[in-house]
Amino acid sequence: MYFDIFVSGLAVGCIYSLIAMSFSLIFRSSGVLNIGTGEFVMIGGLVGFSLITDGTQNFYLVMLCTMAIAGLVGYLSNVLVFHPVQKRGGQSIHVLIASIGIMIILPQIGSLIWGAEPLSFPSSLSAGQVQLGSAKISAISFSIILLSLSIMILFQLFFKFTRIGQAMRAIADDRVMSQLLGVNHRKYIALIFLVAGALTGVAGVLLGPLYYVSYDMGIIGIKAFAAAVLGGFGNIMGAVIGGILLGLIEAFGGTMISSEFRDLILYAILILVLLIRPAGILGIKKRRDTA
Amino acid sequence: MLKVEHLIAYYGNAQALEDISFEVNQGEIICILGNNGAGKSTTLMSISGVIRQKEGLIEFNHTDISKKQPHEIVSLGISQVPEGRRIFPTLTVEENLKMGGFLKKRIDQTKIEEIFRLFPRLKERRNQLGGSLSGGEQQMLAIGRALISEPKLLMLDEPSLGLAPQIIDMIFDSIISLRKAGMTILLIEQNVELALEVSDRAYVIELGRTVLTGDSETLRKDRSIQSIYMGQQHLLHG
Repeated sequence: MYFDIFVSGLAVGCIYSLIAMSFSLIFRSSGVLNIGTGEFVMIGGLVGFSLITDGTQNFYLVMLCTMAIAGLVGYLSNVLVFHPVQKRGGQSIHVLIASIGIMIILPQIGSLIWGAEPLSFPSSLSAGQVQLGSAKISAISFSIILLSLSIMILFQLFFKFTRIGQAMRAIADDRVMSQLLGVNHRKYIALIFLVAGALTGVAGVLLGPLYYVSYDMGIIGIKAFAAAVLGGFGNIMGAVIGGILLGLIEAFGGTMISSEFRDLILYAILILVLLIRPAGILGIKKRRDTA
Repeated sequence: MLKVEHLIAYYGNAQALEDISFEVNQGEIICILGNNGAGKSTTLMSISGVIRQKEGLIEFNHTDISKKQPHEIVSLGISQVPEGRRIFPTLTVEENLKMGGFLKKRIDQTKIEEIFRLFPRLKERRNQLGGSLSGGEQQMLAIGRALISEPKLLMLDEPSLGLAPQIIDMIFDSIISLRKAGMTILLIEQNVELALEVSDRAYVIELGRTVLTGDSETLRKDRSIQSIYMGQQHLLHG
């Protein structure tokens, strides 16, 4: 039984990690705290639902299309909202308010298009088991863990070994210095919003078969935000660790202590960790963006 | 090569530069002197295009660059080593150097080896994180990083700041060898004695204005000018 709890906690945790990575990527590169990140997850989940019920049964194709659409939404949020607000001299508090605006507007648009009822993915997706040694685990949890971990590893390789990945790390360390070396930071920040949107889109599609999707599912973003802070806000590896840890705490706390007080236990532990390590597990890396 | 005329710049709502004019010719080392807050770094950041709110003329090889973006200015051949070196702390020494060649797309490994020959200390530490280097090593790395792009004009902002005397000597030796190799250099330096020793001509700026210019040799001999315009610096180093 412990193994089952571990696997389902890890699966949910991986999804938190993907969303937490989106929070951290955007914050570290552009200084935007996009509290509406969870709404991109909602867009991903609902678009994924439409594609899989009305379009193709191929889950991987659905995932790719959803990534593209959620990526576009992320990109547009920067072009239409965050970049103009910052360019006109908006401080972080103004950017935060703008992102709260996104958090309120997007679910309303979601409910206009997809209605207010929760929608379930075809049950064929969530059924099925995988034999792993002597243990049997649910196929969907297995796929989620495998896919998420692959995405996270790909990201680390991208940041470490590609020219664009290095430039993105340089922007995150010191934006002005990266400019002085010829990096057109605006272009790369736009790209980061696209990638971060795609990450949340995947998270939305992966959540679908696990629970259900609905216009108000974006609330999951708050948990992912907590995960990012737990790991060390702005730190990509921290986001991965924070997400997985949060998923595990939630799974074990919910099944072994009380499912009713699952969130209470979760946030109590979160506050406790922050009291001991205020900067999160891996700590916060400093950003520099002034001349 | 570089011509700045009646440059005015704003920092937020405050006017940081009132009237800056100077010229740098091919192959020269020009130094800009002035007290803290006189506007030296602001001048460099304006030339590099990081400070956008400005008026006046900035011409590089007869092209107006005053409206250009920082990456366009770098690609024309102007590199800046900013005050405080600004090494990327989470990138390794080699990754920092590679960032210097960002616009080249493909980085020539021989170029990196060339920097390692100029500063052998960097080669030993090539896989260490930038943030773990000492001040002197960071300054070497910052200069090396700026050289990777093969600039026509190198702008150095306070390269001696916070460094031990032997390290300062070493950094200035490398500046002199760069000039021998034909590099044009615009130098900002608090250490007046040292700055006038390595440069051909100097400009003194005060409260955002160019107030004095002349041969470095002449300025070095004229102690009264030094004590009037360069404050206590002269007393400490003279």
